[in-house]
Amino acid sequence: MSLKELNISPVGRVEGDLDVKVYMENGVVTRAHTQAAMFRGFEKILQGKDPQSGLIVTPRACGICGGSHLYCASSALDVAWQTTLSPNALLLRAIGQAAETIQSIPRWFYAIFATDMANKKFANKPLYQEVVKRWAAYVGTSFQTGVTASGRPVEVYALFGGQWPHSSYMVPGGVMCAPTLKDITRAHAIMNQFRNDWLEPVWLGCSIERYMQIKSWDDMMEWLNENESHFNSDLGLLLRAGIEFGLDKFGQGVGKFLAWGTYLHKDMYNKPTIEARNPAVISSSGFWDGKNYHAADHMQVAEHVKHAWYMNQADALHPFDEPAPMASTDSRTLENSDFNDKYSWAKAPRFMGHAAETGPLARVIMNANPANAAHQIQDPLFGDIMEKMGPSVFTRVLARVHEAPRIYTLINDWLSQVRLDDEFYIKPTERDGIGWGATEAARGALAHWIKIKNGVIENYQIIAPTTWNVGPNDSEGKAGPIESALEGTEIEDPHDPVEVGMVARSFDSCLVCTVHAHDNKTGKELAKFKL
Amino acid sequence: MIDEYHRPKTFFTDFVQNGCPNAVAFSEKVDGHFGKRGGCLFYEVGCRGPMTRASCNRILWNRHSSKTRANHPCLGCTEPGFPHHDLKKGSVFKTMKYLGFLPQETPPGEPKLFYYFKAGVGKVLGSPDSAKNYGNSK
Repeated sequence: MSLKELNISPVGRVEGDLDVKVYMENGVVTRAHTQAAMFRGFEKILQGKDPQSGLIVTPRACGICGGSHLYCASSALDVAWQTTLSPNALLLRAIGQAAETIQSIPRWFYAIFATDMANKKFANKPLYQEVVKRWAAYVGTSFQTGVTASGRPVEVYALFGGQWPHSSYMVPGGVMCAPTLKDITRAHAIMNQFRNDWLEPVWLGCSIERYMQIKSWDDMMEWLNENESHFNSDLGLLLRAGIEFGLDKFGQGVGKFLAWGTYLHKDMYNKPTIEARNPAVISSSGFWDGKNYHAADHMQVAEHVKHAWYMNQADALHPFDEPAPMASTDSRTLENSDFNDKYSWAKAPRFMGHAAETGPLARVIMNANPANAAHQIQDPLFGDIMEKMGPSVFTRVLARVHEAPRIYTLINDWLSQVRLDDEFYIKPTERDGIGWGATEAARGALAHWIKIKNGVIENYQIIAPTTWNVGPNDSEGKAGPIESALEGTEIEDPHDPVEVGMVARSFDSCLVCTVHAHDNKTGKELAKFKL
Repeated sequence: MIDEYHRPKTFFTDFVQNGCPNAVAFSEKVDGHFGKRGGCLFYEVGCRGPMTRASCNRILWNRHSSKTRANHPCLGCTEPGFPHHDLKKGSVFKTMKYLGFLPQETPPGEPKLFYYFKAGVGKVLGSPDSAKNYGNSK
């Protein structure tokens, strides 16, 4: 029997601040700890500032989810200031949110995830050569096409928001822009280019309409084998290689899912309140415990800090009751962390007391809820897939890419619903109060809580999707979703623990550059590899 | 090649206002507001385009746009001091003023009083009609 510890720091490819420690026995992970290695302090920055500061500051919490933060920040103020939102305002916010999410799909798939499938670990698989040919970093035949295509939807965002990232165009009472027919026409043309350059020819090998007829796993298999175009598309290759490489066999996770849902319907959220929100979202919200759906009531959220380096909080609290974070000076590196004590800058959010996975898989599970209303997405596919296959790296990847055709369709519909003669902004009255704004960032459930008192921010709390997914153990010692998903993972080569990376990247954790692994006993660096 | 803040001059010499489609509205003091086409955002909603050096309206963001082209006030994010006024109460998306009407911050390069005088004259004299559309077309 061989016992081994691996310290992997950082795991990500975009930003280098997620560290993972895995304990191995005979090549299988028995326990894992995730460490968010950086204190951010955005909530601290906002305390005592102008109520609208979140519109400028929070989009800068992240270089890729800025529009999602903006969606939350403006929504939280809408609730607090009791604004009125015009249909145009809701449409243009939804278009911005959807553009940001759809751009992430090819960018994440090619630049973050698929390159791992070209790892030498899979060299003995029959489809390996084809995977390398298409998806190897930078040189793969689809890599550049996909990454370039991901630049198109953000052009649409820029038409309405001025720029992506870091716009603040969504404001309480609506949006800043008042687009013209030129803008709408250009947006249609840009989305069309995204479809014609990548989505249909490269990714699907068929029309969006044909793909969206798929309602079950059997339909998916039938689609795959229907013709060579489907079979040889990048999605076709993902379906075949994903199963052949065994991506459906690891990275299960906690099996409980949370989505706040998003895309507030243009005619159903003109008077923003917390209560009115859940019924008004087009991509439905909910908590799925593995068997049943529950309402996504934000009051069911509590953040645990037993294993997070914060000094001024002991118990698990709802965000409205949490103090602005006071950072401990006793943070440690991964090698020196005591995992019975505090070991991460991420808090551990829990819903109804449970660790919950968030992300596209959570969203498509909510989309499969039979109780969804007529204005909501009704898509049974992932209800069926979860029943037949359960969660895994493969399921998570499939869920993410499955969203692209639908989001494309939604953006096109919304663009055609904008009424150029009608209002885009209704000036609100500023007042004290409390607000909650939520959305689905590309990588999962995002929410902001705000308390305004004496005309300034008294308290601002953000729970990002990555907080849900990479959070540490809670007060009761229950593991976070990624910690849990790593358990049981077989690591073939401890000098190149690509499996750990694949699990973490299947969550698209936004704490994400190079990976290097150490043998903790000898201190010897086992591996270091760069994208 | 680099300026006093070590920014490459090729990107940080021009102001955001260079190339802003609302520059005529700036000269003539025509106010812009959120959700409305045309008008200059400097006077009411805190646009920092005249005081901020960046190439946003020259190179364009995402090949197509810029904040001020989408009726979004420039936040001055390329200048030291961002976020400006330390986000104090009343400073976000509002122009900070003296006596309720004179902008506290004016474009660099000339004394404040001279700017106030010139802005007053500009409002009275106006521009040629061909330049006066203020971007109101749909």
